[in-house]
Amino acid sequence: MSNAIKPKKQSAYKIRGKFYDFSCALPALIFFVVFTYYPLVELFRYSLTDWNLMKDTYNYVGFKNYQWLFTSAVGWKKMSSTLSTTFIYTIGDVLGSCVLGMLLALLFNRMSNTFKVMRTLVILPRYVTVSASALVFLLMYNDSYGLFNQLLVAMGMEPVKWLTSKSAALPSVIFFSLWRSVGYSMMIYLSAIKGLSPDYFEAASLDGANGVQKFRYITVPLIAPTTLFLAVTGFLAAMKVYQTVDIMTSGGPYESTNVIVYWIYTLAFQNYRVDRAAAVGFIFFLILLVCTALTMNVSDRKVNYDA
Amino acid sequence: MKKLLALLLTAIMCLALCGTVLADDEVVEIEFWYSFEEFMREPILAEIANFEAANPGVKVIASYAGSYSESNQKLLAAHAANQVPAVQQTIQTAVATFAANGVIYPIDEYIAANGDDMSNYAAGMYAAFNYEGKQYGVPAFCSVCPTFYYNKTFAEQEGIEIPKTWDEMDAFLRKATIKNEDGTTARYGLSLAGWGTAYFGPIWYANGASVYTDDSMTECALNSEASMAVINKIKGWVDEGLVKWYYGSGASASMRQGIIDGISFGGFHTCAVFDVYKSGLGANGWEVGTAFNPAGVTTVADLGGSGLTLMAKASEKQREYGYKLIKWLSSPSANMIIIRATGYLPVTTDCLNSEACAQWLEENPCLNELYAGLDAVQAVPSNTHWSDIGTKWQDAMAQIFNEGADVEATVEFLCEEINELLADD
Repeated sequence: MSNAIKPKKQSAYKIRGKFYDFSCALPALIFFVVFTYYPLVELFRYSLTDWNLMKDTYNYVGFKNYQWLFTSAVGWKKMSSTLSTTFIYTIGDVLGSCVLGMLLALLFNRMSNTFKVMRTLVILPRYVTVSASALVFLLMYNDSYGLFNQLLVAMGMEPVKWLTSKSAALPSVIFFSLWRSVGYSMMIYLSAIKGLSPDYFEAASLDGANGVQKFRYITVPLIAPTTLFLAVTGFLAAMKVYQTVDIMTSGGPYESTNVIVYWIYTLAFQNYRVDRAAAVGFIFFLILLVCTALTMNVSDRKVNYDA
Repeated sequence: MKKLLALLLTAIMCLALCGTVLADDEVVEIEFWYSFEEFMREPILAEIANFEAANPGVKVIASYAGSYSESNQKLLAAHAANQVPAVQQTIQTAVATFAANGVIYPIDEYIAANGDDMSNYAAGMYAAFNYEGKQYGVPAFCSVCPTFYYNKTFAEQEGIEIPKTWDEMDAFLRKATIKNEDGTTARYGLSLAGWGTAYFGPIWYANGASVYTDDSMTECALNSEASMAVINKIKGWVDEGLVKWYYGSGASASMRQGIIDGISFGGFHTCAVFDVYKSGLGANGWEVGTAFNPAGVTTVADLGGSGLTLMAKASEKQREYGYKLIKWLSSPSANMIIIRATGYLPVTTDCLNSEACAQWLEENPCLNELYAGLDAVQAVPSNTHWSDIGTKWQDAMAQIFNEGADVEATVEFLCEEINELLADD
C-alpha cells in the first residue's frame, strides 16, 4: 500500500518542480518564439510566395525563388559573389581581432596599472556607435581630402583609393571593423590570461622553457575556450555585417564589398523582391547554422576546458 | 452605491463617445513624410503651419523619414502594416512601381472635384508622376541633372567660352585645363559625376545613345555605336587629364570641393546644390556659373528630385486634405521657399513667371540659361531592375575611366549582365 502511494507523491512533486522550472524559462522562451522562431517560420513562408511587400495578396509559388537562386545566372552569380565577399570579410575580421586582441592582451598583461588608460583607449572604439565612427572613417578615407592620404602624401608616398578601388575597399572596411572590435577581444583575452594559474609557467621555467615556448605550449592551449568564444561570436556577428557596408561603401566599388545581408536588403527594398530576399535570408540562416554546428563540434574535440 | 457607479460609468462612456465624435468633426490628422535636409525644414515647416492656419480642420504631422530610399523602405513597411502617412515626398523613379502595386493613389478625382488646372505644371516634370494615364502626384522638389556648374570668374578672366554642344567640348577642355610642367593636371577642365546615372546618363542620351534598344526595355543598348563613341571620347579626355571621373564613396563631396577649391574648372551635378556651389565659390571670392547639358543630336537632361504623392491606404478624408497639402506645397510661394533654400526648380509656370522668381533670377542671372532649357528635362526611364542596372553601368564606366579596363570587353560584359537582369523575372 505504502509502496503504491510513495511514487505518486514523488511524481506530483516532480511535475510541480518541472512546471516551476518551465515557468522560470517561459519569459525567455516566449521572447525567442516571438522574436526568433516565428520570424524564421514567416521568412520561410514568404520565400515560397511571390510577395513584393506592396500587394495585399500573394500566391504560393513553391520553390521557385530557390530555383532562381541556385539555377539562374543572376541569382547564382550574385549569391556566390556576395557569399565569398562575406566570408573574406569574416575571416579578416575574426582572425584579425583574435590575433591582434591576443597580442595586445599579452602586452597589457605585462604592463603596470599605470597603463590602464591605454587599455581604455583601445577598448573605447567598441562603445562608439557604428554610424558615427563609420562617418568619421569615411572622411579619413576620402581620396582627395582624407587624413590617411594626406599623411601618405606628406611621407612622399602615392595616395591610395581606400574606398573607391576594388582592391582596397574590402581591406579598408575590414580595418575599420578591426579598429572597433580589437579592444573587446583584448579585454576578453586579458581576463583569460590573468585567470591562468602561475604554477604552469613556474613549472615550465624550471624545465627551461623560454617565453615563446610558454606562450605556444601553455598560454595558447589554456585560453583556447576564450578563442573559441571569440571566434564563434565574432563569426556570427561578422557574417551578418550590414551597417558598416551601408554607410561606408553601399556595397561598392564594383560590388567588391557587397556582403550577403546588404544584398538581401537591396533585393527587398530596392528591387522590391521580398520573396527572393526571404529565400536568400533562409539559405543564409542555414549556412550560419551549419557553420556554427561545425565549429561547436570541432570545439568539443579540440578545445581544452581543463584550465 | 452600485447605481451611482453605473451612472458615473455611463456618463464617462457618453462623454468619451461625444469627445470622439467632436474630435472627428473638428480635426483631421494627416501625416506627411518628407526627405528634405535639415536646412530646408524650417521654411517648409513654416509653410505647413500656414497651411494649417488656412485649413482649421486639419493638423499635419510632418516627420523626417530619412533619405528617399529610407523613406521608401519605411513606407513599404507601413503599407504592409496599414499604417501609412497621407502624403509622402516621393522620388520620381519610384512612382511607376508604387502606382502599379497600389501603394500610391491617383489624384485625378481630386483634380476634377476641385476643378484644378494642372496645365500650369511644367509638362515634363508633371508627366514624371503619371502612370498608365493616371496622375499619381505633382512635382515639388525637382532638379535638372546634370547642371553644368563652372567658375565664372575663371571663365571671364581667361576668356573661356562655355560649350553649347558636345562638338565644342574638345576645344573647351583644352582651354579650361591647366597642366603642370611635368604633364600632370593642375586644374581639370571638367569633373564628371560618375556615381550617379542621372548625372552622366544625359551625356549618352544627348549624343543619341540609350540604355535600352527600345521602349520595351528588354535589351541593353550600351554597346551601340553611339554609346561606344561617347565612352571612347570620355576615356580619351580622362586619359589626357582633361576630365576627372568621380566615383565611389565620398565622390560627391570630393567633386564639389574640387570645383570650389579651383581644382576643376567646372563639373556636372544637380541644380539642387546650387546654393552650396554659390556660397562655396563665393567664399573663395569667385562667382558661380551654370549651364544646361550641352546639346548633341538632341538637347536633354534628366529630371532629378521628387514630388508629393497620396497614399492609397490613407482614409478618404486624409487623402482629401492630403491633396490640399500637396497643392499648397507645390504652390508658387512654397516653391519659391524651396528654390531659395536649395536651387530646386520652379515646377509651375505661375512660379516661373512670378515676381519672386524674377527677383531670384535677377540675383542669380547665371540660372537664366538653365531655366530656359526646362522643356528638355525628361523623366528617367525606370523599371524594377533600374537600381541594379544603374549600379552596373556606373561600375563599368568607372572601371574603364579610372581603372584602365578594356573598353570593348567591359561594355560587352556590362550588356550581358544587364540583359541577364532584364530577362530575369
